[in-house]
Amino acid sequence: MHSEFNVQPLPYKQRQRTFGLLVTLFLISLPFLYLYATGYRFDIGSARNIVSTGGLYVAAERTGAEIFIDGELVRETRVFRQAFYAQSLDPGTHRVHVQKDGHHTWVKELPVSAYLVTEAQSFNLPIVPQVRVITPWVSATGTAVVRAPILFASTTNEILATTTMATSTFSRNVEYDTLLRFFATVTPTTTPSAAAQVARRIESLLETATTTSTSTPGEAATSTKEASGVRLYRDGEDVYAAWTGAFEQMPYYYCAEEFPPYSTSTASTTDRLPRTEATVVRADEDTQSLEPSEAFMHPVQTVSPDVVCDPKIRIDRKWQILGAFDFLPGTTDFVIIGLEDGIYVAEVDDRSWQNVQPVMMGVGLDFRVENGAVYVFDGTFIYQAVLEY
Amino acid sequence: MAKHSHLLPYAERPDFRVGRATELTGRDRRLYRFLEILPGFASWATLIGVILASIYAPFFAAYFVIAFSVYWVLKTAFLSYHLRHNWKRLRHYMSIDWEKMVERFEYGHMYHVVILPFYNEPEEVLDATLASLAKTKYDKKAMIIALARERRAGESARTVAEKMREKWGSTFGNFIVTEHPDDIVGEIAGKGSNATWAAECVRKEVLDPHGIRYNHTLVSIFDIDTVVYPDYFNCLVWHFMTAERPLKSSFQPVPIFNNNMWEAPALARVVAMSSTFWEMVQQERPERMATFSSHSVSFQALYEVGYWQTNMVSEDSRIYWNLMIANNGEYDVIPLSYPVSMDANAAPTFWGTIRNIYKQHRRWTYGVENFVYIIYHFTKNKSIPRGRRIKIALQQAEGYWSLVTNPIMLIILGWAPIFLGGRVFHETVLSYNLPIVVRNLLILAMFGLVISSLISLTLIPKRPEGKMRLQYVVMAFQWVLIPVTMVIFSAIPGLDAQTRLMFGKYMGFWVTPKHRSDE
Repeated sequence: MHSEFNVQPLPYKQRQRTFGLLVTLFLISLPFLYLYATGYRFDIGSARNIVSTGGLYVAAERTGAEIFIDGELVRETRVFRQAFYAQSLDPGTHRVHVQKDGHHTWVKELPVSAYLVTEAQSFNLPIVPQVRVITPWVSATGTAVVRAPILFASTTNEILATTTMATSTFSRNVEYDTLLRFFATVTPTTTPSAAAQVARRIESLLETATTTSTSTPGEAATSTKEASGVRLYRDGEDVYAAWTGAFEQMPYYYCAEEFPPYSTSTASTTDRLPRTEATVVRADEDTQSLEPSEAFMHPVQTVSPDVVCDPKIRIDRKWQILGAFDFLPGTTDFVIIGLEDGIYVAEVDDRSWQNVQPVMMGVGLDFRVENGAVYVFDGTFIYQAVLEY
Repeated sequence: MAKHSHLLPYAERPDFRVGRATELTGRDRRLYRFLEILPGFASWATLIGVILASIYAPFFAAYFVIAFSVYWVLKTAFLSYHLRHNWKRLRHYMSIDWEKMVERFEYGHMYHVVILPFYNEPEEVLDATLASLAKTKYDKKAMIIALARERRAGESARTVAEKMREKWGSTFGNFIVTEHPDDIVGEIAGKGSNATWAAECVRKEVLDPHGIRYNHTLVSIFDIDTVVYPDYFNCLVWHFMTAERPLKSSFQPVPIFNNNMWEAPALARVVAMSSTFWEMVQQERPERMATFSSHSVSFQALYEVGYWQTNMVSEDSRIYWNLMIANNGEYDVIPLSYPVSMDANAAPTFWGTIRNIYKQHRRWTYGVENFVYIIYHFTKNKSIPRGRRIKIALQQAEGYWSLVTNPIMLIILGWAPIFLGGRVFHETVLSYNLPIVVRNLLILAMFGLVISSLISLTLIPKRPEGKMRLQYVVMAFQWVLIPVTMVIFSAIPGLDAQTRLMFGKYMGFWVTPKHRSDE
């Protein structure tokens, strides 16, 4: 140290004191961060001032949708913010709804358990179906030709409405003929829909008129499907989604237990929520107040392999006769089903209830999923549904 | 024995200048080899351990990641505290009239040997270095310049050296050009062997013939791109004169890699300034310092250990450990808190710059070979107090371990439990909160970058004509690149170097190409 310098080297003792201060900060902050990250929160009103909480993760596939939890708007989705993670929720049942103008609203009651996050995937189909119309005949420029305007749906392609159908003016639509073959296939276990019967008649006529056929009939939408560890199959009048993948990877709601319905008081109830047969939460024996030290030591869940569970979910067919069924392209969280009064998308998640939203309404409709697209046939035209669920 | 009578007793040991395990035999060889494996093994075990823990014990891994993030925030705060203080001291020291400060001392008997090892660097690089020496506020007749060239560099290096002697020879008291042979058995081609050759030439050709005493001679070994500030030698003399044991001390300036700051790309600037900042932090905790890059030391101290090692890569730091161990721990590094300027590592092309920075940092981080050397000799030289040996060993171990593992764990593996933890972990609040907690902690740590950004702006040279003011803004915001540079130019080359050492794939000396734009 030299007094002529205004700035001296940092004294060793001062550095040691700073080091000690930071070590103390480390030791003090760590337990708090651990408790916070695990789901504990301060609550002055509770007996022990610390309560255990859970979370909700709601994903929406649409931008511009609003996510509400217990009636409170928590997120307006944007391009890179299409999900919301709500933390610090009291254990209990919470109501979530996701809505967007011009779309069906998705509503669900979901159980929240301490230390755990309940996930849900919402979907909002447009109220007015969006379709691409595929007609038997097209104009010279490839425009779809219809006899009358289509009013029940919003079309994404250009349509020519005409009262004449002169073959000299219009030509046969190859895409229509190709797709039609898919609708002609029906599994023996199901009764062909009116549209399928029409398709078979038309196809037989086509076969006599056409000598070349390059397409292979697609798999009927009424046979068993299997994808990403989920099997979709028909049993009697119903269709089921069964988990066939590894037990460890199974979404817990395949074995979800009943939980109390939502009310303004359930979200703050002190009753323990039965999370699932397959999932046992050790530390939330007492969900609210932090009880003896083992709650701190084991705030985790474990899966018991001894739990007996038949991991299957019956898809809600709205008491109607079931026609075709298939996974919605690209996901096993949703299935598309053909019912008497239309084609619907249903979620494979029966916590509280299943959200079922119509793709297209109409009697005698049939559908097929081909090459990642959903095609609906009404006996005359084929519609490619635009489904950004 | 008589041949080495100038050496300190411990420096007479045949294994004193060991460079690698293969130079030893028997148990010593096995011990040295084990120590060579240790750093790489520890780093890999840590990184793999985090991955395995994320898979098989994700809750433990998550808690570890949180603890590590907190540690990182506090470490950043601690280092920023040192950095900020040294910045203040550096600026103050730069404002001091050191010429006046040394007036109180009788130092007319002191000589300065400046060793400038070079390989095939451009003439303008050498010229700028010598010009800066000529501009120092010090008696140039007390300065002996040794321009140390390599025989393997060929005729072009000889020509450049001779041109420099012709131009600058009369400016200094003495100016010699040495030629390091390329066929000395046991040496690796590199700066250490060249500098050692030059030092011995100076002794034989200048010091001894002129009767200049070794303890009156200070040696400054500068990288060839080192631009010395005007008061460097006055500052050095002042510290030498006021040192508790001047002949048992090395003197470390702050290397500021900013000569070409206005020409170098942002990536090179960030990496270069990060290296400067690290040295500034070390200046405030000299007990953890070793010499690095350009530094000064008494000729006598050097002579007592036989100069720099000629059989290893990181001779700039090794010389300190040589001196410390040979002097039984009674040896210090004295921080000068006074700058010397050097080049940021920049090539004419972007990818060339990336490649050069990576190779330079791999060479620097190959300094882990010093850890092996230190621990080996700590088991041999019991004259060094045990407490000091343990403290240094732990400091060095932590330094090399954290250099490699911390950035990778923080920026990459910190997220591993989320992706590898499995469904049970994934459904927990902990899994969801982990990225939030870690993200917020890292944002907190980013305040350290703000300090870095502000300090860096004060250390860049004057804006040359033709460079836009807007570039100041770029230089302020370039620090967002830090997470990338930490991994790519610190952790990965460090892991590369440690892995090479672990498998006995010993590295040679890679000469950093010096490039100056036409401007």
